[in-house]
Amino acid sequence: MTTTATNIPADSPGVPPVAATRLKAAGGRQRPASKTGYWFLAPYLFFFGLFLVWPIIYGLWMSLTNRSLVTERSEFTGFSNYAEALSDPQMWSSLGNTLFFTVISSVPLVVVSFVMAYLVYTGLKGQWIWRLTFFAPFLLPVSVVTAIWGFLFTNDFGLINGLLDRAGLSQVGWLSDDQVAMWSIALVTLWWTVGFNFLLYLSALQNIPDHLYEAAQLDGAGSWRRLFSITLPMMKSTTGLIILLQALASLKVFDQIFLLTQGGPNGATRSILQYIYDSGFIGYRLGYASATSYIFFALIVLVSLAQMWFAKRKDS
Amino acid sequence: MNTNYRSPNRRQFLRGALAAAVTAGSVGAVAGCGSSAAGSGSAPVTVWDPFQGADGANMRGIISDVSARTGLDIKPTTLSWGPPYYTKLAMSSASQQPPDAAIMHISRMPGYAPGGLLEPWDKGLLAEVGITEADFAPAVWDSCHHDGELYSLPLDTHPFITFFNQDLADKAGVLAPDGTMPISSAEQLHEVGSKLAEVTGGYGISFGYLMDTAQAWRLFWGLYRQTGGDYRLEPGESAALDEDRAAEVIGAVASWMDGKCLTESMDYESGLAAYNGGRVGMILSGVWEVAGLQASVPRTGGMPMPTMFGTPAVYADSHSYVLPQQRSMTDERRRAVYEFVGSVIRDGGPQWGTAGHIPAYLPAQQTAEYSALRPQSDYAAAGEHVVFDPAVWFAGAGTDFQNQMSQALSNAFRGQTKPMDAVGGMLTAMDRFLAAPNPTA
Repeated sequence: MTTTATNIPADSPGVPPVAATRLKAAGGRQRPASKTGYWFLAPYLFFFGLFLVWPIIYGLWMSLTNRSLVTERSEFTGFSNYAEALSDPQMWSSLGNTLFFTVISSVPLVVVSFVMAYLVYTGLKGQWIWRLTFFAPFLLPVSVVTAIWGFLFTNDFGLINGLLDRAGLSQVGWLSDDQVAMWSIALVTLWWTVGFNFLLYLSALQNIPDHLYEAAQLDGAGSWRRLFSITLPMMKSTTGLIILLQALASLKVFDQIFLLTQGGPNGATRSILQYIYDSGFIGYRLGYASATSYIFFALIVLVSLAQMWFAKRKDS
Repeated sequence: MNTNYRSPNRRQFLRGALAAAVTAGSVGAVAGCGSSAAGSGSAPVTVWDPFQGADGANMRGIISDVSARTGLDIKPTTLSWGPPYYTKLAMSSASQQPPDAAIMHISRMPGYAPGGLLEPWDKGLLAEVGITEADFAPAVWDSCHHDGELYSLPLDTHPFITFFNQDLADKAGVLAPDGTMPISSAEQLHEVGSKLAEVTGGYGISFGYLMDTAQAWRLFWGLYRQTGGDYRLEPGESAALDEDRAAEVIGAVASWMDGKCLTESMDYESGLAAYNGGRVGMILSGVWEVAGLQASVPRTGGMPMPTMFGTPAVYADSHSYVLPQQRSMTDERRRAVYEFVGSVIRDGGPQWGTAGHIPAYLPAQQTAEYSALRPQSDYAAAGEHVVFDPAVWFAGAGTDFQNQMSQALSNAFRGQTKPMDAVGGMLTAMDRFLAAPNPTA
């Protein structure tokens, strides 16, 4: 159809203006008459450039210098910041903490959100109240979330330890025991953010055509069979998206940890972003902090590429 | 035709935008003129502090008194306390838009003075506004110097001390007739804590340190200096502590945490809550908590940290005034800054003491107003034996150094690591700081 259409010259008499525009778009041989659109984009591009592109380039340059936050002196030091970061046990331990958090938070955030969405979609009555309940915590600001959970987790007079005490069990150092603290933070994160994935899953579930289920039912498929043979395969691309978004969000963890434990106890919850913040803004070493940022950036790119490669392989 | 119609508009838009930019630029330039005119002495004296809550209200009161008394125009700015306070202060100095004067913990001065971020006080000019060396405790005055120059002018000292619930202490029979609590060894502190625990039915003493970035270090460093233990922290070299003495102190603190005398599971807030709720008889804490503690337990006594390891020493820090390096400064303006700071330290001292801090200006401690404050005047003697953080660029209030030291110590206090391992962990962390390039130099 397009081929036939592009054979007609756009300015031929008798071709209505709308069709002519469509021809230009389809053929792509003629430039649009005006560049007005760029002016609408300009404010966005300006701020995108100023606050994203330029800092990225400037940060890369800084990572090759010994730039400090508090003096104007700055000398080119090549890759010495990178060498220092890669041999710094604290960098590795904070990176390890971040990866550990990513794993222990992403898995439940994907699985639990699916289970919640599936329950709401298939059986539970009063959908709106479930949607509201599951999504509501996501609307809370991080300061409120950490204030609530900070109280719940408090050692001496916190609600959870109080209940444990009453049940005759020994108290747990939810945030003060270095074996437990990261799990507690993952739990807070699950409660706080699972609603977003839940919504994504719920809308994807609602997009599955009903006739697939009807046909399966006619063929005698039970509910488990329908789940594994229709629902889960149809959720593949949504799951891929959620895993990627979740992994990236978890890798960027900072605020809830900073507010709940400040990276303690004994550095057990210090994330790589906090390490970067500590080196740059508390330790004043902007060059070193930039180098660490770039190492982390490389890791995020790797994770994204791996996920894309994995998704592509599954699709093919 | 359309193009012809749109083009002028676009040009008009561009012209408008350009005009707007030029206008904004000229407004900026005028504003710039204004700030440079500040150098002529017409603009208010700007001062930054990190005092919030009760401290903040107190300081604002002092400043308005000073303003009324001297006729000086003061513009105070309070920034939230914590590590970012120092980040902002350093950035404002580095970008050459600093306040005329600012509050800085003495412990942070050694990190700021060598890099040229601060300018020294002129002792001659200080004497003219009534501030001289004789007005301060030697331990505090000496710590205000770097390379022989006076870089910070102390407003107070705020040591880490002990408070006790006089009623509970009385019941436990641990009070001396003069109302003090005689403790001269680690064992004796354990004994007092255990007796208090018998009265409270829970723990005897509160010490909230878990997840805190300074508390464990505050307790340790004061007690370590009581042992006479020395240290070596020289950038570029490896760190040294008297390891046996450090381990002895850590071991003593761990021995108190038997679930009776002290519990090992307290964070800062729990520690305060336990004291305020009358569930413990004593608390190891900073003087800045006095108002809150007294509000809950009116019969709260206080005394300097008991000397348990031989030499009197109390861990402390000090709010002091510093002069961030200015691009331009006139004599008239400099004099206004000196008059302001001199007046706050001299005349505002007793009032500042109500918040718990010990006024650094000795005559302020001797006023009837301050002497009447209890328990403030009971622990004022702590100012004579204060020990501050090591004088290196990376140490001091709100630094990652304190955080790392506290983390290494916390696990040993609660018995999860051996004292000697904690000392090893501290030395390793110290070595890392010493090996890192100094960003303030």
